[in-house]
Amino acid sequence: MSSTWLPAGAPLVAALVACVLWFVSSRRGSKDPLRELLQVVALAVSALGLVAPLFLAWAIPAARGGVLPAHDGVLLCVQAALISALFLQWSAQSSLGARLRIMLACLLTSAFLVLALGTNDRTHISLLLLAAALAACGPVLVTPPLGSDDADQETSSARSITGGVKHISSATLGTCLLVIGALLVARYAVNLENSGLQQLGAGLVVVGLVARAGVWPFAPASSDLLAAAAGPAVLVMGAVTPSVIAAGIVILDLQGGASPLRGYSLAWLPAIGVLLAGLRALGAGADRHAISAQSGLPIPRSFSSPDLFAATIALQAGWAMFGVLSGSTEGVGGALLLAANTAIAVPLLVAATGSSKPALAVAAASLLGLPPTGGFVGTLLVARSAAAVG
Amino acid sequence: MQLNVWIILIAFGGAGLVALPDSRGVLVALLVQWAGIIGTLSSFIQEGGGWRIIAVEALTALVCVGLLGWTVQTLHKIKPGEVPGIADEYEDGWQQERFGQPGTTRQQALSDLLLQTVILLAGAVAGFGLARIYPLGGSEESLLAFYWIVLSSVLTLVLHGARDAVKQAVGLLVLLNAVALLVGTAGVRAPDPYTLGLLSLCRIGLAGLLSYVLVRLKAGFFDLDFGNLFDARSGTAPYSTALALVNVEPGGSYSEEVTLPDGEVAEEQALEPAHDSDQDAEPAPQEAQDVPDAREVEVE
Repeated sequence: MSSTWLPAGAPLVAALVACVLWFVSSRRGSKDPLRELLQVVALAVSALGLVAPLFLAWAIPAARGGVLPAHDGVLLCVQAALISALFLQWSAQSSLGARLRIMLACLLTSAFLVLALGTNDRTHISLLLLAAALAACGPVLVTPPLGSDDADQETSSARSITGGVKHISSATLGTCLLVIGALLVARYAVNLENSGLQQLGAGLVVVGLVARAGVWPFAPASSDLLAAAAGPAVLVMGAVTPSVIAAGIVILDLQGGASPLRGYSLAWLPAIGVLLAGLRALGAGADRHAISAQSGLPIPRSFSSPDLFAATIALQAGWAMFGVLSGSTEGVGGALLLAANTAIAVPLLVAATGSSKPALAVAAASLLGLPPTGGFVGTLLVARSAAAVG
Repeated sequence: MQLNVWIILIAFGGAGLVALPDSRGVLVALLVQWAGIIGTLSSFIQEGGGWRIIAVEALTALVCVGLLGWTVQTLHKIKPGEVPGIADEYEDGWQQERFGQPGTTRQQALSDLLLQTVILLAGAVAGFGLARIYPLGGSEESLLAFYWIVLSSVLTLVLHGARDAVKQAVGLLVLLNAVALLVGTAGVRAPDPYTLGLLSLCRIGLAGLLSYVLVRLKAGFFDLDFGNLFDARSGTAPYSTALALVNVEPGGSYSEEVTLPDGEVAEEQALEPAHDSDQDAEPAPQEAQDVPDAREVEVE
């Protein structure tokens, strides 16, 4: 555990330095060129803080970030997602406070995720993932109210608050299930008289993991965040979700050895989630009975992009969780690949929305697992594990 | 199993969380329940270092309840007109809800009270039952305390969490409190400082974020109710005017006085059928004349 404090400390130190630079910058006049320079330096320090855990893991073997070697790959992609969120939101926001909030959110989320992927203790992992979820929602909720008469801005602000509150609520519920289940599994692991409690604990762990991973219907906040808060959406779905999937392998003790959770299968749960995500995507459309007031003709049906994207991301999370819960080597490998793919595709999806259709198509195809994109190999491995289980 | 004073505090605190409508009362109930949790921890942690668990728990309670309480109290003092940028409809609606409610009948108040009492009793009995059926670990008293805390949280979230922001915040916090109690009393070993720190950090972070949500709700909608937030999310205009039949008796008269926000009594105004300017307009069908008079009222 102590070896992960070094890579986790780097983002925290960077956050501290960024706060100092922000404080100095805020004392400058708005037309002072040094103000802008200090902000850019703060951005560079933040980006360095996000890269540092990977560099430290490479340079100092004792400070390796992940418990498993495969976790380092997921961590690399997660840090890339965090850097993407940082630059995405930086370019979208011009106010000093908004930029500081996204910097702190990215750095704190990074620190918590590095710690979560670097420990074996189930309770610690669960609580660190909750802390990361809270940090990721910070920029959404800790924002000065707009006080605007613009209806669109009011709707956007309401959606961002709703998304943040929903995500916090689902993360808290999932964490409670995880911790309680982990306690039961640890207490009754070798107690043959209370096998029912052991199974109850295992069930709680699985349900908590599925809920934290954002498998449908445990992803109520996704569409709101994608619609109204692009940066936090990348943090939540591009960084926290892949980390939950990767951490699930450690929580379920799938890296080897005897475990009360190995062989316990609720893999049908994410399978149903995948089905529900597909149904949700079908329903993400405008009112089919809408009639134009001017012409009196039916309006061509248009789809709600945030709802579609949310369902697609939940679909991939469902596939990945199925791979984790299947317990097979192929399934776990496929899940890790899908986690890494999610961390790369979600920022691309968010950045390409409204700007580049080819990039949007690539991101969507990757999340759907279509060849030759990155999600194809992971989906294939999970499908093979499903066939083997069946 | 013996019900000591800490279990009773937890029970009363939980009942207050579910039953009390006022935000400040809910926070007092949270404090009472948290005191019961700290007392339960002090009773059942015998190992060395138990003082550390109690100290961290007490500090977390003070910070979380203090943060939420200070926020709620400050927001409670704000009067209409003191917050810039809020639409008049939201302030009018808030005043209408707070001061313009028609008095509930005795029968309605009794049925509400009865329903709440039944729910609380059912929750209490369920706690006993769950503690017998699912002995998660630790003593019977700590197990009962855990289930009562969990049930109070679940009931608060289910009954009020979708409408009341304060109750939602408190419900989530209480859920984490239950987890903290279970970790402290039913774990294989005593929780280490790292676990205690994480539990504390998560609860304080949650309280801080949800306190800020309360501020944003007040600043945006002048109410801590989620209804306006969800309406704004779906793009629905607040407090639009619509036709409605309100307390109308056969024959068209009001069954009781309807008081408008400015104190005036609403006058009964029968709607006249729409007259077409065209002289050859056909008369209204006979069925329409049998419809009771409609009254035009403002719908919240």
